[in-house]
Amino acid sequence: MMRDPMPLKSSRRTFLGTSAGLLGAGLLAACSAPAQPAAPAKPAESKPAAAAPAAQPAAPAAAGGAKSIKTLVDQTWAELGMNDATAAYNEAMKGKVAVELEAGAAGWEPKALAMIKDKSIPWSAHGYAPFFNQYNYIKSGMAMPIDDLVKASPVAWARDMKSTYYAPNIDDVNRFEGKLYFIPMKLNIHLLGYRSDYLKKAGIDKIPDTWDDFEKALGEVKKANAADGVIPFAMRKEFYRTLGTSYVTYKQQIWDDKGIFQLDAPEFYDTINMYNRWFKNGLITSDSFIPAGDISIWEKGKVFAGIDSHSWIRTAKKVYGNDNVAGSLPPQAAKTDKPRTWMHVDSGFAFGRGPDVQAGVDWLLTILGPDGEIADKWWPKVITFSGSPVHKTMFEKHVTKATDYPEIADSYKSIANSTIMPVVVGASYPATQTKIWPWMERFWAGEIGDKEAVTGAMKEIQEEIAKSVR
Amino acid sequence: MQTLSPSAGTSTTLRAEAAANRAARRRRIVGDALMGYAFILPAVGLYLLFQGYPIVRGLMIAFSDYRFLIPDHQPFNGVNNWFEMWRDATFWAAMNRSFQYTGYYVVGLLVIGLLGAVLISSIHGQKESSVYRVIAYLPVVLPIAVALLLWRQLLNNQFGYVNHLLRDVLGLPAPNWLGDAAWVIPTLAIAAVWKQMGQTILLFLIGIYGINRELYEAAAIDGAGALRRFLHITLPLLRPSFVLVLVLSAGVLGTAEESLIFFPNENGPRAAAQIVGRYSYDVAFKLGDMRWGYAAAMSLTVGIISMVASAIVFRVLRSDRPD
Repeated sequence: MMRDPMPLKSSRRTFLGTSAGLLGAGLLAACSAPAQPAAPAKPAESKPAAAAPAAQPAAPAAAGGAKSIKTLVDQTWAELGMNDATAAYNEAMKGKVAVELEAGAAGWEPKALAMIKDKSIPWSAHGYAPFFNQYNYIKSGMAMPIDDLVKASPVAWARDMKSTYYAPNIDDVNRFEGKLYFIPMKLNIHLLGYRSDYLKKAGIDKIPDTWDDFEKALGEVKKANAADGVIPFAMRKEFYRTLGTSYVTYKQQIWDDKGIFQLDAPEFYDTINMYNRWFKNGLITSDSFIPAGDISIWEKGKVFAGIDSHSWIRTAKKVYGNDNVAGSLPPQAAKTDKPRTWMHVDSGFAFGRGPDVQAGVDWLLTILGPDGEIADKWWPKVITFSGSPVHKTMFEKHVTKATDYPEIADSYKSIANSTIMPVVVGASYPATQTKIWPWMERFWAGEIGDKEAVTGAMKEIQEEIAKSVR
Repeated sequence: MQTLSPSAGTSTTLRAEAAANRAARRRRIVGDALMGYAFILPAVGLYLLFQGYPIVRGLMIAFSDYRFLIPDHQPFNGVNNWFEMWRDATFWAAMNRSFQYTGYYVVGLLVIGLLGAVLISSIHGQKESSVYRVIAYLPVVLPIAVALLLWRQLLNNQFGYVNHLLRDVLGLPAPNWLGDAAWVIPTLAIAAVWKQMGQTILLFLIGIYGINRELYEAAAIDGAGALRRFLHITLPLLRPSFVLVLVLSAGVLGTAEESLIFFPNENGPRAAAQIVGRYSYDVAFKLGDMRWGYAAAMSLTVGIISMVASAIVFRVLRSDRPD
């Protein structure tokens, strides 16, 4: 047997000894207490602190040095204004509390939920729950009831939240089964965004009030802009954007008490039959029936109009200027109808089993509050991206002065007439979004009738919902 | 009292020495073994942590009704997930699309990979060929999201360069790649082939560079043309490369990335992009209670099919090794 020319006896011992030592040290380190132990959630019956002025952030709960908490929000919202608002909050709370706002990537939910199950969630609060996820967040224990935390908060407006909102129905949708879960971070009011230059070319000076008249106007726009190959209307394949918004102009409440969209209502048939005519008449084409993430056809000026969130309008204004792009509330079913549109509220929430959730809620209440320098770092930025402020004060202060976006101020006229999507629609939204489109596409291609399309879609949606045991 | 003779004493001493030697050898063997285990421990540890545990956990989840959104809900449900799969029309439709996708992908990858490798191998200059190898490999290192968003723009029916070339320059009919249900699966495969072809080209190139050049010279002397040399020398001797490429492609049956990036919030026209990996993703992360149990069972099924396909490839294309 060939021997190793290098004598290994002593080096092997050293090696094994060192390995064992390192392994032992590693095991000890792994078994020792984590660097940042999660503080237990503050008991719900904590005493309210003394009332603070509205603009002032929360008073400290810990004595003898600043406590620190971590919060989370998606990168977009962090960069839009939450980072600035949090920096201002930390400045105001110097020596009392320090909030570290982490900008999370998309897809953080399963990870956070696993940490909640392990009781190791490091964040106290999150700055953004899209409306269609809120139901899941509650049912999974990700979002916790915050009534007691809001009551205990020293942030002044927390004591009378409802009165600060632009309309009382904004308050209703933050609650589920009587409990408060969410603090609004923006209100989305869906609008019709259109190219005003194309409309002028067709000899029309304003968007008609009713769908019937709007349909005629689309025909005129198509004729007048035929040389440029302009497609009159775009539909985005996300239920809440175009199809859902059109439906609420026909029917105020489009879901049942279980949160399932009532697709078998006569008004939904009216909606899809209207679009069926538009497909047949070339007012919508396969090119303007677009997937969620691709609005290039709108950005490149090949479409006259679409119904969407305000970002649809803002994007085109950036490209073509305020003189050539405009927005309005969508047309209504009848001239006598008060204007109505799709609305939803996206919100911040406190993590179930999160550490020091009281401090997290105080942070949310302050940066998303109705007034003060800290909240002023957030609300005006919302208008420049997507969505609108929820508070009367912020409407007066920022929306009415946003001369680049006059359509946002106009859109508030519809709040009282519209029904804002409640948390419960989240129970059926993902199934609806997944199942409805193949049926509608077959209907609009003329392969099946409206009845078959609606019945087929509803059957699949109900089957999907029935798989849930919640 | 009996006294030991000198020979008996020597024998005892020898036995004692032999025992000591055996003990020393045992210690050395144990020491060698310990040393070996110590060396492989990090690799084994990492494997168990990042491969072994997820496989076992995945298996456990697949045989349960794990619903991620319901706290502590993971009841064992035997093979119920497979009974559901059997009755699930959406699963079978998705599976059908995945097989189509895999077919387009594998054929595309083999043809383009082989063609690219043959072309690059025919370049004589070392520098030039290395430039082409780098160019061919670039898509592999490009992040998949970037690569696929690039393809989404290229294939845009109105503004994409591909249709501009087909329609406006060549005067040919241009398909609506992402808007026509019939074209969605081939389109997903085209983008995926482009992304992976660099790796395949390199694998085939390694095989081609390993072929003895004298075989080509002898064949040329015997009057074999380029095509015959390719068919009778290159192709047969690339059999191990084919095995490798096909086995590496087997996992594509369960892919979801292309569908998710091209159609983030819906499944494409008439759900044409709902391949089985995407369906499994939707079940696990979007729909209802987030049924990880059912999604894991689907993934396990796809994984087993891929393994069987790999075994068949090995069996059919195995080459005899010299002793």
